[in-house]
Amino acid sequence: MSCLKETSQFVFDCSSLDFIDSSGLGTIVSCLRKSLEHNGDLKLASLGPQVTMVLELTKAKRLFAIFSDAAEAVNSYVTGRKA
Amino acid sequence: MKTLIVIREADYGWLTPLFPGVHPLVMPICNKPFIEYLIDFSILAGSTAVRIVSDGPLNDVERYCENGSRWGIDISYASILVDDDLDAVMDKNARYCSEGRMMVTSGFIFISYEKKHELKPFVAMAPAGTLLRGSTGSLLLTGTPENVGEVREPAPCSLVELDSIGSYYRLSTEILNERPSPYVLPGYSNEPDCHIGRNVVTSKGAEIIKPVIIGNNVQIMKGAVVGPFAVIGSNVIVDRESTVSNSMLLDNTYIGENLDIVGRIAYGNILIDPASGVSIAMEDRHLLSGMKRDGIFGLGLFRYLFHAAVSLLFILLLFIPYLLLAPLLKIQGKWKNRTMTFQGVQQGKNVIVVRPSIAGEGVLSGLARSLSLDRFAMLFSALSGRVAVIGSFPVEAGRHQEAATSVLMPGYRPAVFSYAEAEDWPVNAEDSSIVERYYAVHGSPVQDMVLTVKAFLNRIHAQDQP
Amino acid sequence: MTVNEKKCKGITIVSLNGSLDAASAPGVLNSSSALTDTQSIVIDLSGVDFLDSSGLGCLVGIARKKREQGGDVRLACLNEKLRKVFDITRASRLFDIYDDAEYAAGTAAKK
Repeated sequence: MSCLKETSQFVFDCSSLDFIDSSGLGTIVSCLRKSLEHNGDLKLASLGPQVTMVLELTKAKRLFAIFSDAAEAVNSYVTGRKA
Repeated sequence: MKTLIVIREADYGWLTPLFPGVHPLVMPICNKPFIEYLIDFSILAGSTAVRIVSDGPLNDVERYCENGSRWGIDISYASILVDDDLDAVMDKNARYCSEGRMMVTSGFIFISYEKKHELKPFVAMAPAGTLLRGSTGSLLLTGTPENVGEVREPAPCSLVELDSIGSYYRLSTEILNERPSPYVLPGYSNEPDCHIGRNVVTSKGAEIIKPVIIGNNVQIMKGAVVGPFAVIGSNVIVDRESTVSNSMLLDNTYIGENLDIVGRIAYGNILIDPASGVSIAMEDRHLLSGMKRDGIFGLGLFRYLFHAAVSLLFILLLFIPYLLLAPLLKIQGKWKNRTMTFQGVQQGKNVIVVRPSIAGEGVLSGLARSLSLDRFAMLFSALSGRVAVIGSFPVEAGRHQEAATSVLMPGYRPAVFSYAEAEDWPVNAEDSSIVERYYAVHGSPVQDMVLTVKAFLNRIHAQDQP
Repeated sequence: MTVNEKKCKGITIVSLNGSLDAASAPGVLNSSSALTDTQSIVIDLSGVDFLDSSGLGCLVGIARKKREQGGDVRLACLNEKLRKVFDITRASRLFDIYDDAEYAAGTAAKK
């Protein structure tokens, strides 16, 4: 997470992500934790149905702000609008 | 009357990719295979024989239904070709159909009925022709109706089409919700919307909320919440702090810790959203996985070495007592060497071990038993990796040949000591299987060693008590 | 392996009895001309107590030849054991299988 030096506000565009397991999920959650430690956030965008299912299964969905596309997620940092 | 159940591969084509390896006719609906509902209906309608006809394979169905003696009727099977119409099907089964009245169900359909209406006179009096029709199948009668008495209210039964995962899911929920259910559901039930199978272990702090149906060999761990509207199959573990509601868990499914299963169908390592039909397959220790039998040592070479080391330790420990006690007991005639054949990890692969019996009340036999000297020879099998040092209580080969797959739980690993002995559980196949399976999933080498010692000590302790 | 023939509604019903395997399959073809000509037939298998891959191959061969020449083969009266063989090998997809030989002959004659 070297980019943490430059910013702490992230958007993960998941449009090409078609599968995630517990270790992948663990990585994303630890990224979120680090961002939050730096007073930032990590927002997810364009989740596919499979990935959404895993997030719901693991209750991780409630940890993240989720947007339908990346641009909307980026905008939300500017406007402060909630997902 | 006789019944002809006609079902084609095309009727259930949507189901096969979602549940690979399960024949749609034996797919469980509320823990009862689909075909059994049709058989029940046929019997209630007055059939004495049922013939299942398909253009696809039927061997899985046959394995379950056999010749129908379980239901007190004759069940037979026949093949047809893909483009045979119903007339051709009747032609091909002319001898079977020759005795007059026939009931023919065609398509992947479910026939729902109510308990309060009697089906038999209704079906007997109904004129020949189509009784029920849907877009995916129909129910029809041939032959002349019988006059049995007064006219009753219109059809006490209706047709449910099974054409998508959504309809399959809805049907299960409806059956679970129907109280009191006209369909006899498997499991013990002292209230209409709660059915519990054999060997269901609910840990402290676990919660079960009606309506719910649970199969056999199910473990619900601490803090887990099951229900409302949960259908849990057999051989299932719901691990700590997980919730399962409005969902179906099919046989052999492991649900990891801290998960939310809401409005889902889980089948082994496959998770399906019945609303959208989306499914994911994962084999993940922390999320969900199919409970299948893996290699003799699930954790590979490392675990084998560990088991070998522990067995070597025990061999060294018991070597002197064995040398002293065994010959003495042999002279007394209390020590009998027996060669036993146990089922190996893989079905059909047996393990042969020497497992003597020690008889008698004397101090020497008691001492030998408490030191587990009867297991001494088996330790060498563990050293060579043929059995584990701790695992399942070995099942004698041949004893469960018929039902080997269902009796041997996933994770079965014949061993010198069993997890059940470590936990001081009653050693009988039914009860101990659950604790063995728990460790098969949760075990680690270090824990294995601790439990081996515990099992050994328990056996010493067991001898102290009369 | 014994082979019997009878006519029913103009269609020959060939009854096979015994085991149909690698040893007996070649002989079957020579024992009845009805098996090799171009006419449609019904093969009654009620007396066959064993069938292996060569036997199955023999039946498939007869059917293929007949169908090429405009005839057809129908099978009748498979016992439990044979039906399982047909089910597992999926050979049931290749044949019209009837539970009554004379009825099969009757419907074949109408065609």
